Amino acid sequence: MTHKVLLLLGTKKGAFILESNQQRNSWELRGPFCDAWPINHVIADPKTQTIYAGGGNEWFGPAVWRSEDLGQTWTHSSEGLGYAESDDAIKAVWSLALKANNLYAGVEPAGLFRSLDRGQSFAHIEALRNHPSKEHWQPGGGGLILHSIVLHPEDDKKLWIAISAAGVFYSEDGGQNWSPRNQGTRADFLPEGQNYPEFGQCVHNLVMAPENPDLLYQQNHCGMYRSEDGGQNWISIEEGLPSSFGFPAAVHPTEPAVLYLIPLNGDIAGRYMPDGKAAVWKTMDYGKNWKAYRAGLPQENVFFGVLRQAMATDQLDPAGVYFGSSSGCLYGSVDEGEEWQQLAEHLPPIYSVETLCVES
Amino acid sequence: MSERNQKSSGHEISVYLAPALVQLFRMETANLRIEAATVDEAINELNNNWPGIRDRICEKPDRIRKHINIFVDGYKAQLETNIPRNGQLTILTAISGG
Repeated sequence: MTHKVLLLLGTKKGAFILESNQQRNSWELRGPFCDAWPINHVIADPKTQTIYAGGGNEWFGPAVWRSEDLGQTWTHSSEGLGYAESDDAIKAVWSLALKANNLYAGVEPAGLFRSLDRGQSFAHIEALRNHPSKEHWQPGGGGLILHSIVLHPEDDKKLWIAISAAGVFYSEDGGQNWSPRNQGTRADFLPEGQNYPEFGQCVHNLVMAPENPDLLYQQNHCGMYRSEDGGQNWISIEEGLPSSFGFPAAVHPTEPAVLYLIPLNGDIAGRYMPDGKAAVWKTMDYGKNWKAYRAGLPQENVFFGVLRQAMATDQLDPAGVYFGSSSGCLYGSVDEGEEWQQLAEHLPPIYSVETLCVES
Repeated sequence: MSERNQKSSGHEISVYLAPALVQLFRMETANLRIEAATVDEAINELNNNWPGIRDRICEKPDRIRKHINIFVDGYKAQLETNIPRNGQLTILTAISGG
């Protein structure tokens, strides 16, 4: 039985934790943690309740922070987080993913590392940066970042990653070999006739539906997509959305057909809420139809954005949905998106939101 | 060869660390006495006592981080710079951030 719910925030100035009971009607804020470093992603191991925070500091470089006591105390390490074969220095850890003993870290400039000792040391998965497409990888607005790591729920060898702007890549042998998985996703920034390349797309966020590892969704710089074959083919599901541009995507914890998005008004139109009104868009049929949910969200002069890792769902029934804004506001819904309330304000720009349900 | 470039080893030096490093590694003081003959050796010696501190001062491939400034007896130093007996090694955070 769920004893309490934690919201794990990565922000420009440290990690924060909001805590509530299972009713989720009152939240207590703690932080900033991680010595107020910029923290791009905070995740938790639901079995051990260990919290990991990945980020990078202008002075001290990249690190993965770890807390064994739900955020009370932290240690950090970047042992092994380096490229030996080139002059590129790693600026920051951008994304984390955990399954069993495998803790993955995606970094800037784009690369993938794995820790088998709970974040004490990392080993570079070199084959990804040795992929022949690497010389064509282009940085997006956030840099050349590996921002999405999707792990197969049963097979430890299978994983997908996404890089802006290189696209989605898939490995079925634990990272020894990689293949692009971008067929059907557009690159509007390339000349006409070259808009559907094998790689080079600017994917913004990649997520996997629950209970169905073949069903992937991705919010792209140029559209919204669904794949039913593990990313081998993608089809557009952007019809009905106010914009083809946005960053985050969050799956429902148990319903594969349900997905949440926060489209922004456009890539060179300001990247804020369409018409200055905040809304979360939800599909209940795999992206065939979309509906905006606005109740409780500000509907006047809303010019914030929501970044790629800044929306998440929890594991409760009904599911909670949460997102953090670039202006430091956190919003939550405890009824699957029907009604929203502001949970925190005046925080630094929020880079990521994840959840942890602590069992009693 | 000037005094600050003379090669020596295993001698005592003084170290001053930026407050942010002291806080990061929960150290009791910013002023230390250690044994080292070069900046590189000194950072390794610090790392022996506070594992991970080298990764905060240096990046890979092995060089001093862009926004970390290191001085030996008041002169800007590199990893290979020698530190004289009883020399002063100062490790500071440069201007950066936002």
